[in-house]
Amino acid sequence: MDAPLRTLAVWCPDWPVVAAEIAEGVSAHDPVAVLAANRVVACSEAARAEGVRRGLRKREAQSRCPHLVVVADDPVRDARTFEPVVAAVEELAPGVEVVRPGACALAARGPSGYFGGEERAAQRIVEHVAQVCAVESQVGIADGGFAAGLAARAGRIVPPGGTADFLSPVGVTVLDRPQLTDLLRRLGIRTLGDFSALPVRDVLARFGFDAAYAHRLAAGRDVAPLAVRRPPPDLDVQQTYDEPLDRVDAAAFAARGLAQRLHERLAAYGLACTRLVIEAVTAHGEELHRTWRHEGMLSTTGIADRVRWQLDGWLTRTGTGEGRPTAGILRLRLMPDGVVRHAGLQPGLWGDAGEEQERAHRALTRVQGMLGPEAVVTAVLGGGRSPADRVRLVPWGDERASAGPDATWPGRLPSPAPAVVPPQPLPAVVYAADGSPVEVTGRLAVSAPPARVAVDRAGPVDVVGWAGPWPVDERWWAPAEAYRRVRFQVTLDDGRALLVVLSGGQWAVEAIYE
Amino acid sequence: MAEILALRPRATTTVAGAGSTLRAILGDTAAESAIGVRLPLLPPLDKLFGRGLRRGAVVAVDGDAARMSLAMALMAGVSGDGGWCGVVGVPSFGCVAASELGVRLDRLAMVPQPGPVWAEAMAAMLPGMDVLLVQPPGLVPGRLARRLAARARQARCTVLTLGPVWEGADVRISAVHQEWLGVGAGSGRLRSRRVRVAVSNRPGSELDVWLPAEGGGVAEVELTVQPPLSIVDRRVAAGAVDLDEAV
Repeated sequence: MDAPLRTLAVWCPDWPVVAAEIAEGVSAHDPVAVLAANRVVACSEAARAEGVRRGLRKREAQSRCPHLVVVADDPVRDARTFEPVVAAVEELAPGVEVVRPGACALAARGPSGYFGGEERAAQRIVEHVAQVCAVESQVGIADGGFAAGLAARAGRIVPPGGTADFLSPVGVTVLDRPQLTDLLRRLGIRTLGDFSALPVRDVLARFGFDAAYAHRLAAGRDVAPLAVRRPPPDLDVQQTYDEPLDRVDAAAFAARGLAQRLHERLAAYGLACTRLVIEAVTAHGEELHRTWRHEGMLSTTGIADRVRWQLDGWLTRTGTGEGRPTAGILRLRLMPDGVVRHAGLQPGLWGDAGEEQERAHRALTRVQGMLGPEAVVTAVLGGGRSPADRVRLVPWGDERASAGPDATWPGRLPSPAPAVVPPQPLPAVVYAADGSPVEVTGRLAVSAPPARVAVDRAGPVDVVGWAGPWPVDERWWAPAEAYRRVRFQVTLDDGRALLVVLSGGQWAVEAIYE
Repeated sequence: MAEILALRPRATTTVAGAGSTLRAILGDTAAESAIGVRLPLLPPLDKLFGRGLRRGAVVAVDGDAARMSLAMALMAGVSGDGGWCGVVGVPSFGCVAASELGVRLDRLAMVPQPGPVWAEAMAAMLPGMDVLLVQPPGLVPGRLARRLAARARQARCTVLTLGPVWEGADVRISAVHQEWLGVGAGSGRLRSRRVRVAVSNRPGSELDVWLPAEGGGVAEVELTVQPPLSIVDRRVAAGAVDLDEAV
């Protein structure tokens, strides 16, 4: 039988808390708890000192530590922030397995031989991680990944062959198999040593395969090889120019070459790029940065076009001159941000992703290059009471996610919807027949029928028909956002129809049925 | 010589054959049936343009009434056919109304605030769109208008301009009269609108349409039939019933 591999484990304590500090700026020195499904999954040292423990409910944790900062658990955030730590470890020793965010393992033989001893290797890795990522870590070395993980928590280097002794006094809960450990505890088996003393055959017969595997872990006979990760390929391409690029045609030429290189590099890995970051540094040190999205695969011309439009937009930015570089571009860098395995693009059979879509997409991306990505929008309908609330504008290229199901909205305007919805309501006055402004009481009594409407300094026009008042009282529970108003539909003598609202004694035209 | 004589009749038949093919192609482009040359329109509106509306034309939508709805109705025909619609410089474009008239919002792109570069933005959008609705910030000088119109013709993108600001539009379509139905004195709600639409290149041909019709969409007004007011509506109009559905 193979002997367990001598393994070096790196463990960063309370990783979810550290990740929250890195990603969201929460200070890990304050009491912080990371919660998933209302239970504490990790907490900072300060919180632990106040009695916060893993598995506590949120309310219980807050009662023990009232000034506890609560962060939602986000495994993706943990994984993302752990990436630089893994990269830092990889700089010293190759072949790292990420056990979970916050813990990684590697074969100890290489680094201990290279740095002259296991202790020195461990010291070196801790120092390097602290220097590069400013993250605290502990290293443990033992036979097998499981024992090394436990050794890292204790910050110990278990001598070769001493793993079984090291594991023997440890409680069975570290096996991370709640059902099994619960059963073992009721059988009076509390430590790994007790568990490993059981005959293998009986464990297999009584508890099954998984327990038999746990039994091997407990005995320090963990022979599972490390699942070494492959470091992600470096896909960025960049180019520095001796002559600063200040003309669009020169920039376009440069863009073409860079795009070709990026495309070749992506193709070599069989990848396709869905988001492209273009970064340019000017001769005066200004940095320009923009991300482009694309739902299909970016071809060479696609990449080149985007770079060219972007440079075009930067170099010939009109208008206020704000954001326009003061010198030519010295360095260009293309970073594929968001790559997918390229399995060939399947164009839509009818229309949806065909040539027309590509044509429209190209034209709109162009305008985005000219005016900025937020200038071109597409509308998504959602819920809401007023015509303006029902429309959500998303920048072109972003996901057109629907704003929830189109549920019934009591008080929503019935169709037909108004064709003109000014971004800001137009000021107006609604007069009664005697010339006084029409008022509506809190109990929705209209002081007098509307007789004339004056919109935005224009002369008053006679009202032909009117309907209302329709009250809308929104977000009354949040005083800062509360909006209470009554709405009327009025038709005027000149044929127009308006949606007028009265809010806080002020009349306004919210929409025009043009 | 005999060979040449023998060849001659064959040559003439070839030329004649090519001529008839050419004529067939030309005839086809002139007919309304030629798909891809005429803009698809919603049913009642196609009557306004006898031989259809050419793709790449500049259509001025003006008049005081129902301007925006008319433009949306023109876009709806193209959008329903799978085409792409663009809107430049119209921050007050009512997307809900457009969607009710049949404009597909997933194929509608808007540039609400193009600022001073509206003409450049429009020129950049022309190649990708089938219809482009533009509201220029002021009067468009003839030279710029001609340049943009040429681009539109080349890109085969129909341009709809709002208001009387565009010099030299190919067609001018305007609503000369509108009347909203459904609202009484303190009761009812807006339900439908009767609009009389006129087109500049066919004087005298006016069309009465419901825009929107009762229940949404566009429909032609049947002159022999009474306006489709239901009994409830008439009572609402008379103020007999307080049908306050919206509250």
